[in-house]
Formats: sequence, structure tokens, C-alpha cells
Amino acid sequence: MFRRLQPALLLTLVALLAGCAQYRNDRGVEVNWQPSALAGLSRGETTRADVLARLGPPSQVIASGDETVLYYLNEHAEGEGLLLVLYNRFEVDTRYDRAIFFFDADDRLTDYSTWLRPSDDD
Amino acid sequence: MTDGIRRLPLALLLAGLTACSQAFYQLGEPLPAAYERDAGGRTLAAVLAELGPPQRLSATPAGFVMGWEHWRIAESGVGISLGFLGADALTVDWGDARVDGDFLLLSFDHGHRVASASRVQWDNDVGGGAAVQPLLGVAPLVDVDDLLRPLPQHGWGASNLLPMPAAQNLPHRPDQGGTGLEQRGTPAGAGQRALELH
Repeated sequence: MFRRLQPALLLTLVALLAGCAQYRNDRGVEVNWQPSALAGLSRGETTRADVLARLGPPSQVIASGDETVLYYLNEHAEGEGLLLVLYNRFEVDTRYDRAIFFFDADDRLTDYSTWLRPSDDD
Repeated sequence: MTDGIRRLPLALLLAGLTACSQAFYQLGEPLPAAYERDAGGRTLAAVLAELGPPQRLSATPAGFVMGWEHWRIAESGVGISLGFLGADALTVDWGDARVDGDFLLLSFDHGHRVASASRVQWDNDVGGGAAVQPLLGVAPLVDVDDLLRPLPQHGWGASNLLPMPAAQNLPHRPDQGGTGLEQRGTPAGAGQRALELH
């Protein structure tokens, strides 16, 4: 009788004492620099006002000489944890979605680049 | 009562007396191998196309300096109660932290060409310890919080509300985008940040 109950008792114990956790954290500006949103950007023609109108205020504005830079950043952290009786394990993966735009003294776009983390579907 | 049932309390006791925890962190994406070797002279457009926007950026008198980084951080800890030795009130704790880091630094001139490139990669034990502590492990043996901080861009505006020594140092602080940059985990007790009296 007890021998039969022993696995069930252990399973119940593990079920009661084990747990899991998920974690997600986003910091920064809203990510709206998907390729479709940037269609039509053209070096030498697009102005800083155009970019600001499309993407909103950036995380940082940096000036170097006559140049200005708009820098957009969203920091996305995802984590999961396994909480067992004897062992706990956590994994956190932090990725940085970002976009950067350089403008010359006339506020015309000279260079730009974006990066988006691969979606779960990719 | 069977042997199994008799052993159950012992198993429960051991389970309650010993614990192990591990935490793994990854920040950023892996960087291309040996990129710095032939980066000299490349255009900003080419670099951005290959690496994407940098995580760290600052203007310099000569142009810009940009940093890309990828980190893997592992933190481990084990705690064992000494109750089985009769010292119910004591625990033995052990902790260790390892970092696998990759940091690429490129500087650009005003013509948007790479003027210099440097890179550091390391796989180091960055901390650890052991302790005998009462009841619970109240003193942390490893601390990697300084390596996990968000990028400084998030605190750009709020940095003006920092305590006075730090606020006064803002014009020269190496995370404001105008006076250079610093690597993740750089100690604040020396260099420009020493003026912030941490």
C-alpha cells in the first residue's frame, strides 16, 4: 500500500514545491522603425524633420561638428526560470532594437541603419 | 512501514537543506569574427550595413566613436545547511560568476571613414566567494548587477536629477553621447566618474 503511494507522494511533493517564472521587460522608445515605416528614406534628400515626423522623439540626439545624430533604442529582455526543490535556473536574453540616423549641416540624411530582433515566427 | 516511506523524511530534509541556483544572461547579438582586422578605411554606411546601429555612441572632436557588444554572463550559487552536523543555525554558501564578453570599438572621422578599430574578447571568472552564514545566506557572494544595467541612453534625461556630485559631472560623463563612451562594467571609483563620489 505504502509502496504504491510513494511515487504519488513524491510527485505531489515535487508539484507543490516546483515552480516556474517568466520575465519580460521593455525600456526605451516605441519600436516603429520596421522596414515598411522607412520606405522612401533617401540619402541626401530626407530631412531630420521627416525622420522625426515618422519615428517621434529619439532616445538620444548627438552632435559632432555640423552633424547631428538621432539614436533610437528599445531594450527588450525576456527571461524564464525553473524553480525546483534543489535547483533553480534562470535565463535572461536581452536584445537591443535600435535605429540610427546621421544628418549633415543642412539637416539632410547622410547615413542610417536599423536593427530589429528576429521575431518568434522567424 | 516500508523502507521507502522511512526514507521520505530524509529526502525531504536533504531537499530543504541544500539548494543550487544558476542564472544565465545574454546581452546583445554575437559580433562577426575578426571584423576589426580589416575595418580600417571602411565607410560608415558599410559598417552600419554589416553590424547594424551601435549600442554605444559618442561624438568626439574627430568625428564619432561607436561600440558594439555581446555578453554572456553566468552566475552560480550553492547553499548547504550544516544542520546535519548539529549546527542548525549555520549555512555554507558558495558562489561564482563568469563572463564571456566581446566589445568592438570603431572610431570614425568626419568623412565617415573608420579611423581606428579595436576589439577585446574575454572569458573570465569575474567574481565568487564562500561563506558560513547564520540561517540564511544574507550576504551575496557574487554580484553581477553592474554588468546587467540598461544602456545609458535610457537615463539620458533623468541624469540631470542625479545626486549633486554626479549631476555636476554630467558634461564630462562618458555615457552622455558627447565625451566618449565606456565599456559595460567599468568601475566608477576611478577616472572621470571618481568625481561622482560613488
